[in-house]
Amino acid sequence: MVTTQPTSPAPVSAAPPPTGRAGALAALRRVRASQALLLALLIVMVALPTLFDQIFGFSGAFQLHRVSLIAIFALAALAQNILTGYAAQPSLGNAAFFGLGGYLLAWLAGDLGQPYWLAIIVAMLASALIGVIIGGPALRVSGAYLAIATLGLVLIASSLFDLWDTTAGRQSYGINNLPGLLQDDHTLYYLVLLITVIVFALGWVLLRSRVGRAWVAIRDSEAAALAFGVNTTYYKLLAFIVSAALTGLAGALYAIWAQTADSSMSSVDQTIIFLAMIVVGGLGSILGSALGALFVGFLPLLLGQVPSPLTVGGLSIQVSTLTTGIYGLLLLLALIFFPAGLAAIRDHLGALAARLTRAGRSANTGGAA
Amino acid sequence: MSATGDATTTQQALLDVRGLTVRFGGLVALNALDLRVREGEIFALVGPNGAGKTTLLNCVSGFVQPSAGSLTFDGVDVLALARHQRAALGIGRTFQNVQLFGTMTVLDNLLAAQHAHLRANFATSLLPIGPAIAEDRRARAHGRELLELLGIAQYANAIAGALPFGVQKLVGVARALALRPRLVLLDEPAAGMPQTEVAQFAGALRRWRDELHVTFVLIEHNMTLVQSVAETVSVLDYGRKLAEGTPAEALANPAVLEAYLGSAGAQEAAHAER
Repeated sequence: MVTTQPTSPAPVSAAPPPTGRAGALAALRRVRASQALLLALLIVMVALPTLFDQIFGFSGAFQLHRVSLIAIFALAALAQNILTGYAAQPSLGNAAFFGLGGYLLAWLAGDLGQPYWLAIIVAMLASALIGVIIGGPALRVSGAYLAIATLGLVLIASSLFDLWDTTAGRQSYGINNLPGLLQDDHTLYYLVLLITVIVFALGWVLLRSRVGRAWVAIRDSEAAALAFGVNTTYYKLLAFIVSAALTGLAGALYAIWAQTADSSMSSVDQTIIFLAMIVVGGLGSILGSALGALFVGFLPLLLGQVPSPLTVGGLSIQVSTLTTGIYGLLLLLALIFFPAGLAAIRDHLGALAARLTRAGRSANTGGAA
Repeated sequence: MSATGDATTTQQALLDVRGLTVRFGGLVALNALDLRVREGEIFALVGPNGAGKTTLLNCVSGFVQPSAGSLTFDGVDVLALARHQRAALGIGRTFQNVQLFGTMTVLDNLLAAQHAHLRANFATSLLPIGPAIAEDRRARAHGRELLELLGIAQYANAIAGALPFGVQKLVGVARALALRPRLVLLDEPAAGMPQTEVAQFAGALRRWRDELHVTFVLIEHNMTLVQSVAETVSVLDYGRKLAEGTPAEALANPAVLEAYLGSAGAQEAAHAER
């Protein structure tokens, strides 16, 4: 076991190990599969506007607009996943930063007439700054306490945005001076896609670095992380800040997308959507963040196929009002039955295929015997 | 082994524990404990359950705050440092319940263990090129070397949490060694180890000490291991040091026999010897 002398038997009473070469190959295949899937996703997304114009004709632009929203949600999902899936901080506060990003953008670019690129950057930096201020005290508590404290943050943010709207005498913060380029669904789509792809690429590198390992170390064993020199306070705060900044960015893009900011951006419903994305997609998985956003983005489309109002017995149900409930249900089901989320479907399929081939082989040998 | 005693007094100790006292409520877990561990030795800490052995380790790691006493490592006041700053001194440890980074691969565990020696920050970690990648490559090579040395290289890419317990314990030792430590604290490394492997493990410990120039402090119940590998044995009971010396000296001490076997048992042992 512990000796390098070749004469000694290998006494580790272990199951047959995933031997070096096979283990490495398996790991390589896993990486390759993820990358191939991402690449395919990327190609489809770049070609999407053209495809949509072909498929949907007149309504292509409208459909594309929905897809832009999915890319924005993917950013928010990655942000939540870094904080909750990697650094293991069950914060429910990201919706506060989503609203903050949206309102800041509406104020800076809409009211103050600043350029949009500047407004996006400021919204992101301001979210990071508020993340520092809030994250410091919030991360003194952990687990369920952190979840509740940060949920309070969402409610506070929502009230403040409501107050701002009421004081200004409006329903929501409309943006009236959106430049033509951002009103065009094609250019908006490509802008959002570009930002999302860059952020995901940076995230991919980051999560494999010393910083990413520190986050996972905290998740897997906080005691061991400390004993091996990880400043857990700093890295938790860093995750909180990065998450806040990315969510603020997503909020700013969302406000451009919707041409308005609205206090419902910071709501419990929004929190549940963020959570549903990473749990259904896959906790601690970059791919899962994108898949979760896709799923949550397409769910309303699927629900749109259900006749509405749906009549069950004497009840008449407006299907669209059920959306949050359905996210909640999915969250629950995913946690119970698919804790690794959509990102693990590849493994499930692999296992299924292996079982089928084994079954096939044994059936064959059975037939031959 | 009388030189041992002389060396303790003349040579500065690597780990120097003086008057260390830890109270949990009314319970005194460590009672004015004094210990000196010399550089390069294998030092065993034995004693019944609840004697305060792991408490001492947790004082070194900072998970327990002593109410009195001092703890210095190579002259540095360990207690004045934050918990995460202590690894950088060169103190590695294992845990009784292993505490691996279970979702990482074995090799990534060894990379994470080198955290204190790597310099990459948030900004450099965003780039797929540059110093962060280069230092990661060196850290990975160091990790592979250690896995080779410990004979577990075949598990490098396995997910640590899915490995059999025996392998996990070895990965825990590899992780502690990956830190490039001067001192490694091993918390019951032989627990659950088949008796046939203990002798091999003892040999391996000596080899790692010699090749990696590491000092080991070993908490162990397995007396075969302690007797075959330790140069100094310290016996604790109720947070006090009962005896210290070579394994033969320390374990033959009447107070030690009494603590382990009860007073009747100690008398019996004494009779048997006569």
